[in-house]
Amino acid sequence: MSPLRVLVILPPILIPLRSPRYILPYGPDALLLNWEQRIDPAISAGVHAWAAAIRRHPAVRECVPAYASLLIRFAAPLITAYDLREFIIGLRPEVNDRNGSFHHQLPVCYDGPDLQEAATILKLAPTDLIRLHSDRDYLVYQVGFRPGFGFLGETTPVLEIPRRSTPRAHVPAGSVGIAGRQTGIYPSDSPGGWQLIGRCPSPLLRKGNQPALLRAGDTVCFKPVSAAEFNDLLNSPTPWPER
Amino acid sequence: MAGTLTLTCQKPGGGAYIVDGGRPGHRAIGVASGGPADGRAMVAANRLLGRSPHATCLETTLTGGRWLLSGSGQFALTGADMNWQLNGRLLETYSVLFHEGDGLLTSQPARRGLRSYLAINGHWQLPQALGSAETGLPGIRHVEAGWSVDINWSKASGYRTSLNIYKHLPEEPFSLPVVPGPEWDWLSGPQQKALLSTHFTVGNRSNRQGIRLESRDFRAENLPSMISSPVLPGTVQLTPAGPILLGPDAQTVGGYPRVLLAAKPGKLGLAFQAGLGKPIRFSLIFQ
Repeated sequence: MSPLRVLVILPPILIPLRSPRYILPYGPDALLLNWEQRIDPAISAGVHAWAAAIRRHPAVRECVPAYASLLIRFAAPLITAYDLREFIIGLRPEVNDRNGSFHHQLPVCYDGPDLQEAATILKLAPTDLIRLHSDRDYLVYQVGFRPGFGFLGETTPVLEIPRRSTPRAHVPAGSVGIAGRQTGIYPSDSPGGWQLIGRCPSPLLRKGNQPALLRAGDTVCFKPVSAAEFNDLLNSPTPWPER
Repeated sequence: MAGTLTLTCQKPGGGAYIVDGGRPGHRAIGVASGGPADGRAMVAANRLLGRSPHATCLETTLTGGRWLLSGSGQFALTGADMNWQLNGRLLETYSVLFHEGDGLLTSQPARRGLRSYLAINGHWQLPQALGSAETGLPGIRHVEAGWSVDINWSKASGYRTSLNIYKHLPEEPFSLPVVPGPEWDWLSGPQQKALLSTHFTVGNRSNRQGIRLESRDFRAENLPSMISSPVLPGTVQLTPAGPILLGPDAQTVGGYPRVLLAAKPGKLGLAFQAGLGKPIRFSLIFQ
């Protein structure tokens, strides 16, 4: 087992935090915190720890965590950008700031329209691609692009693959895709350029006021299922964890 | 006195959307803030009827489509000049209109501006998610042929009219005040100069997500790639196909350099009234 493999399967809670490197203005009522621009579990843990700590400030309206950056929208009449920077610079978040994260096991029927082509590009047998995609835990680095779309990473370097040269105008909800060293599930019908290797029967969006299953900071693993199991699970999805 | 007015879509025109206060504050789960593309026009329509500023309205794009109005109620039309008609009779805009019976509401393509707002007095009986009836989340239908809503009112609006109409359509050529964005320094001096001096036009693929700005003379080549990072309405992303001014339905994160930011992101209404093919340029202001 290589050291990299060990790093990937450890829960991010045991990974040291990285601090933001820059605080940039972002228009009249927002600040952008930038970390070193790399995809790295320690940076991600830092982003979520700072987001959790900054969210507690009463003048902060919204924190939007991404891979290696954090956007903070604040109520301009309640605080100035100068004072908010002062508050942020004074923070020393702790690792346990990222509480409330969940681990999700999501079933995947690996019969996506790009499975064969992706396997050919990667010079792998489809069964190896499936095994390499489903044998590890992924971190939800960010949720964005579309409601509930989690950017999960990182896939093993062997699965690194370019996006499709022509994006699809219509990707059905539940499609499981890979692109670069990222993987993710399309929560709703949308356009998309990722290589589609499978289908997840569990909904990632639902009605009501907690519409998204995944939150940044959660972890996800995939469990291969047959087409028959896929159909059974469509009719009886697993219940959502209560946040 | 109370009543109900039923609005039924026969044709949605060039894009019809339910708009209200949107869903600000949910970007962390990928939900756009939404809201009207031209907040000034929507607020004006609601104000005429005595409704709260972000009460539910219908936003139509390019051309208003065809709608049935049945029942009794009061409504107002604001925004782009689309020659709205009820049963073939031209309607006044920026005024409270009274309706009783069955009416066919139609429009022509916008002559000035791009988006028009229909406010109807009362409570729109629509499902909500995260405090909004706008589309984009499960359980909320798109507005398309056959879509219908009942609007119940208990207190009639009186007649009111507004002379603000001429403030609500863009002067040409429209210039958007901007400040440098986080990746402004990624551009070379000549690239920065070109971005600020080019007269762009509003591309045909523009929508509530963003205005795609086009120019034959402008090239955005050799841009470094970036790890996707948050964006907001009013952010100008520079893509290989040209700049995009993001709007109310903008995605929450993006991977293109954020070269400019609208100086007043809460006041994008004028830009989002610029019609397809109309000119827009950026003017850098120093804060």
